[in-house]
Amino acid sequence: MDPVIRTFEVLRFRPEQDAEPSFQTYQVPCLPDFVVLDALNAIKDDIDPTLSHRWSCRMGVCGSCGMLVNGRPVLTCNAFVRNYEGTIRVEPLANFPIVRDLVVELDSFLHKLKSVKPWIVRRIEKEVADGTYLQSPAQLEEYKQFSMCINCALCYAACPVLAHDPEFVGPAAIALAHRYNLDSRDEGNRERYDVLNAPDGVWACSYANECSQVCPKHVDPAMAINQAKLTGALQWARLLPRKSMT
Amino acid sequence: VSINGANRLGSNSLPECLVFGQRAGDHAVRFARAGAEEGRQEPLVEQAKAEAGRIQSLRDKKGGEKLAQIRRELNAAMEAGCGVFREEASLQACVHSVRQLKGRYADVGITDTSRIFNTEIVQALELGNMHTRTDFPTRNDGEWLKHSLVHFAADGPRLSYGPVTITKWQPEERKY
Repeated sequence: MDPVIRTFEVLRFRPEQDAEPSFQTYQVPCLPDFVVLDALNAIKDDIDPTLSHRWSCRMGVCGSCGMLVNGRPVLTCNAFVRNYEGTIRVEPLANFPIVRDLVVELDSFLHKLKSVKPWIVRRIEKEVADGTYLQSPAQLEEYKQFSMCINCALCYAACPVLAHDPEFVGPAAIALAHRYNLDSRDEGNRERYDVLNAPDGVWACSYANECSQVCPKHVDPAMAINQAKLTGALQWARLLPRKSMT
Repeated sequence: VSINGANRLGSNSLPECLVFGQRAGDHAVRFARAGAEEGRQEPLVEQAKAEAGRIQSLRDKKGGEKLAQIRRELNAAMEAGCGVFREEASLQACVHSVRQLKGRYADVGITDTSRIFNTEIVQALELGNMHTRTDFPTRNDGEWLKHSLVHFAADGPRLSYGPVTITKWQPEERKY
């Protein structure tokens, strides 16, 4: 099938030469099965090799190709060109500083992720020889949907709270904290309590629900945050123990 | 040495990263520290300078060959010559194509000279598995149950072999 020429407005910013970001327009021959990422790669390969963007797996797993397409945070590998009408506008993820072109600085996000200890915390680690931590299917079901996060940061770009409070721990990190708090094998609830219940933790969320709307893996971070509010309140009131609570 | 050949190809990449990547990283750090403690920094500095020079020389390349075109032709040659099903003739043809492409790569043109997130230079640096030889349909563990090691050398790749350590799972013919 013949390619169709589509117009892309791509935000460019090269700090060595640009005072501020500006849009550059490209006419891109697109095949019917093109996703926006294919169009960006076509620009880089055949039109303008100086365009910088991140991508890796091309199958919605690695989470590195997130950008704003017509203002909405999406994985560009999962955004079919044919589903957009007219000019397609591509920008880097909002709420992050731009390193260059479509590449953003994710340090703040990674720091927030680490702050909630998104791993299994045990008071005393089992020896390898003592075997694995067992879990029933029902216990897995307790947290499973929150474990599908791929750290793509689309929810950070969508979050209106983060837009005015950059220190907000944010949807993905809180959803992951909640995921481990709900995990029957985990005993790290107390260690996550302070981060989650600080002013920039769960209580900063105004439940706009944008995070859950844009999540490409159908995680529901807004629900996680608001469940974590309930847990935090009960813990604060000592109605629930702060230690090893599930 | 590695798990390649003892396991399904697609399942090798994660342990490669997580297990062997960590071992390689730890070893590299120990090696570098030992070098620093023995006061042999000069070779490391020289090596770093050579690497910086290699990247700088890429940045300066203004040849007529297009990076994307060489990559596409390399993809096509590898797919045709050494995909999952391969044979002597297709492998030979692929070696020939890759050598030609290496020659053309020397004349590549780089457009992006930026020092910030320069993915064109990264792509240029990137330009270099269990499979089935259809002309050898019978399994030959007597001769080939060993690790094949390819070493980089200035005059072309050097091949050597290492023994396989078999622990719990005995190798057997795949009949499904």
